[in-house]
Amino acid sequence: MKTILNKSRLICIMVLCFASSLYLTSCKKTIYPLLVNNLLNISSYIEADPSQYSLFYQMMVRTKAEGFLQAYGAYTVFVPNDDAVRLYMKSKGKTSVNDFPLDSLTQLVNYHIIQNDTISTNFFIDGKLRTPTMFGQYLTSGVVNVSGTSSYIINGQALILKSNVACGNGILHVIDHVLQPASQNIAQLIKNNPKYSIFYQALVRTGYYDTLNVAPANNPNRPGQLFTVFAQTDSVYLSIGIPTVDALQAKYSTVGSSPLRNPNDGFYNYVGYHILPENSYLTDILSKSSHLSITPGKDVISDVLQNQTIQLNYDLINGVQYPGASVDRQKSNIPATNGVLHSVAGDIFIKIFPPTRVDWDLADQPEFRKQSSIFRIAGKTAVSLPSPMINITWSTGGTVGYTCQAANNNSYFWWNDIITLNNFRTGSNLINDISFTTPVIIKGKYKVWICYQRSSETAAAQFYVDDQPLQNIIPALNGIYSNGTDSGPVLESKGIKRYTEAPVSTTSNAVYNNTFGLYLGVANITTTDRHILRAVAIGGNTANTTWDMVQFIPFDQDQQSPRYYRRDGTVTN
Amino acid sequence: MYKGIIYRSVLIITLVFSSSCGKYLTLYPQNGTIRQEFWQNKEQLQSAIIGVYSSLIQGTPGKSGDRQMADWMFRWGELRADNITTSLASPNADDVFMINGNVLATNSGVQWYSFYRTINLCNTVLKYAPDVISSDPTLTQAQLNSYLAEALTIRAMMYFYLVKTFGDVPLKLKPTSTDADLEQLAKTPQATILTQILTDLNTAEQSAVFTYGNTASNKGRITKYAVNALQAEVYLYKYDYANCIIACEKIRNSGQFGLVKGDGNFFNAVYSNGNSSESIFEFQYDGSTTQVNPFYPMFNLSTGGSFAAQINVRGTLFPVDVNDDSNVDVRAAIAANGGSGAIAKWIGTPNSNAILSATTTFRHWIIYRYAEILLFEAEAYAYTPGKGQAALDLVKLIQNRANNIYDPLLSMPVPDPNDANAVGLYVLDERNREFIYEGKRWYDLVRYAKRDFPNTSNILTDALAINASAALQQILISKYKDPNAYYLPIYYNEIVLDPNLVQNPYYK
Repeated sequence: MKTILNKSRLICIMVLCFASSLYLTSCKKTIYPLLVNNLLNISSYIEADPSQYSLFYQMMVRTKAEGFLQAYGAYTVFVPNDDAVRLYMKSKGKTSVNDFPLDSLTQLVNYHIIQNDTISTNFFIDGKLRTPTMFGQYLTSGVVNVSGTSSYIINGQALILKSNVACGNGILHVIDHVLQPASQNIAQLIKNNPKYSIFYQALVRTGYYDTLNVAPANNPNRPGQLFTVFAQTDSVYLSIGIPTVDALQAKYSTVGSSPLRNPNDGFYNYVGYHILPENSYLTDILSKSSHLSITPGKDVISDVLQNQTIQLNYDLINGVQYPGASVDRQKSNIPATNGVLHSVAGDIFIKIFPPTRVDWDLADQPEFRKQSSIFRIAGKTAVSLPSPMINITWSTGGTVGYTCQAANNNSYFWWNDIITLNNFRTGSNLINDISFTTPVIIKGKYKVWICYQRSSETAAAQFYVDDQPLQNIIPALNGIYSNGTDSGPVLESKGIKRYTEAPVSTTSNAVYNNTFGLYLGVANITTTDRHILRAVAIGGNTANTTWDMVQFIPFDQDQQSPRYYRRDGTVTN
Repeated sequence: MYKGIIYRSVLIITLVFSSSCGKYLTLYPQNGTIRQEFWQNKEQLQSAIIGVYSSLIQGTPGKSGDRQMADWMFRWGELRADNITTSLASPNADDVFMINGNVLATNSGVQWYSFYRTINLCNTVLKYAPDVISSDPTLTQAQLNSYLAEALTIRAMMYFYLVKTFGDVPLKLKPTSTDADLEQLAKTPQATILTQILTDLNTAEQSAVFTYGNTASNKGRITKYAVNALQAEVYLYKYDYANCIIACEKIRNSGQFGLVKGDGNFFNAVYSNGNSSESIFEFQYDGSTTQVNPFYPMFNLSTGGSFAAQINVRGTLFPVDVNDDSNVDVRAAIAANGGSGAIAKWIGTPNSNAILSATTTFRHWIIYRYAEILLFEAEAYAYTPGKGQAALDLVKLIQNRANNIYDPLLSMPVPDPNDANAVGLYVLDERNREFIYEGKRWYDLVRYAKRDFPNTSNILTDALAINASAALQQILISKYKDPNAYYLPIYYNEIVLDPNLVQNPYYK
């Protein structure tokens, strides 16, 4: 009886189990999404849309680019759509991708691929993209407005139809024309442009044509060298009264002097002054305030952006503002196999000056000058600024301030103003190392003086011009002692001079005044350009360091004259 | 017999339990109120409206990447324009891209989340508030309508910011209260949304209150004047000058507003304290932990703030009197600190170089003040034949109040009153000084550029070219020859979530 009951119970349980198992299995299975990156790689993306990219895909397969664009990496690819490729094939008289020789096709495809960099349109600038293509040449970017719609344009050849497509191994942009690399070098570009006939002949006469008529890889003297050339059209020469290359040569060359590779010839130097040994599109030109040319004297071309105009050689030298020549943007940024060609809408030439002294008021910084309610107004102090300023940079920490002394203040500075370094000394969060960009200094040899006010205790300093150390290390800047009766030449022999009308006074057996010029050493300025004056602190004495001015005086000139730099800004003997 | 009792009791117990089943199984949240229990009386209605205002001054809780609304309004209204720079220690890359006018859909600065959040709160009020009147007899129809007017106006304001910034955007006028309300909306054309905005504002104007009886509410909640101010700007945006003038006149004739005197107390009155007699509507932060404005981390340069004044703001936009140090434009020092370039208006202190601290930046974000009504009207007059002089007179009022400095080399000369374009430009120039860093400049430039496109677009490109980085200047100029580029892209994530959204045309 019991067993029967147990049996029936068992059956019941089994039935129940079976039933419930039926229910359980009939439950809907939850599908959890697999969290993997399902972005296609570049090759797959292009292959996946044969209606758009079949021809470029064929090119990639034929040139084996398809393989590496399917693999791990970081690429930027410009993908011409089928219409673009068809247009290109038609222009070359081909009907199929297979009609192109493999070599040239590989170069063409490589010109569309940038390796090891993903460049989204965020990084498209007015010039070359930051990384060259696998072909070796750079691509340029820009924006054009075609009938009301603005689009990015690559190389001035192709509009971007679809940008920033993220793929597993990089980023691609769809373009409406095939990109074609430059086929001519700079020399050929100039030769083939009839508007540059005078400039072309000038290149030939000076031998620079041969310098520019060489592929970078084959350059015997400078392997891999790329050039930037500022060419001038015939109409520019006409506008300054030069109708022929003979007239141009006559203007710069002395009679009887041969300009052909003659470093002493003015014409050779003039033409060389239009060539920079660098691959600089206009934005690269603007990224530095000056560029060395290829002339034997390494003469410098300066540049500045005025609103929308790029001015070359717009220089302020010894207080005289020289007009510059503007760059013709439309005719510039023309890529060549060995660099880039620009056009200047005026004449650029080497300005020759004898070395000339520079009295450089350190307090005259653009940040302070624009505060016209403070700048050079007695008793005003500006807010101290952190690094970097426009013309001053220093190790992080510390600030540079500006003070124009009150009228009744017992200090004597040129223009009555100073910069205050808070604090110049070793140690963390202080100004250990400070670099000033000088005004333009004409090339030559100069003695350099720092004029400042001594204070109780300051660090010593080593000064550098363009990273060349100056001979004198300035001892702890408070230690200026001299005999009150010392004459100027005696003081100078000790590396000291007085430059203001500050009266001499006596304290603790030492005779001094508060404001001195200290001799830093001789600097050999090799280019007519703005240079870097750098001071590195030695020692940890703490005080606000107040600097007034720096003088660059040609080494063979009188170092003590003019004697007085007055508080009202006048300079007299 | 026992059996019968057992059966009966079982039956009764079963009945009892089964009847209680419904309530027993329905679980209401214990720490919140559900909709069916809310919307019962006018106090709840009022707190719902205050909740809408509160959403304007707080970021979205728990939403990463979201910012306070004033932060968005500042970014969208200023970064792409010509008064901001970020040459500082460690600027955010997305901020730099936006300042350079180089914005992709992935830029974290283009998220509209907060705006739709507030729109949804307004929609909720608009849908459920009318039911309250049936459950609370003390609520009058007029009171109800004034609450609705507030919601309508705030919603209109949110949509107006969205269309000014993004062009076409999805238009949602119903609340999202349940999962069933979730919709994947497509974009609605800008013109349709502007029509909706004006319809809503006209409704709101009928029932909005003149005053709430205290200054704080009058400046911090929507009054009839705030409705008129928004109307004036929307009409101006549509270049409907006659209606703009009508809206401005309503405010001017009310006699409720006047210009604050431009003396040493101006900074304090208008910005530091807020709720000045000039103010029409502002976001009110009170300084409690949840109500600090977003500006300290944005503008304090010594703690990694991202934004500072362009170098030409002090000295060029605000020229100085070289002969008289004490003769200054009262707005110059408020705009930017002369040395560091910190934006003093939001984190500086009057007559000092001191900076507010993180816990004391609760300056109100001003949406409209009376000076703007005068300049709205001046702008409308500029393009109204025969009214050029009236425009110049209004500009003069603003200039005189601020003691503007005229510099023959830097300042724009007073134009011929009959030259509409020149007068319009003159107003634009004064607006730049008066509302600098109040989130207006970019929208002003776009409004001018689009008025007679493409002839007027150079106003925008010229302004930007001065400050653009050399590497991007020409790109920027070509870019803004396309009016589609004036609008920001839709954030990529919105497009992922809503397949019906199409990216804005410039951002292909």
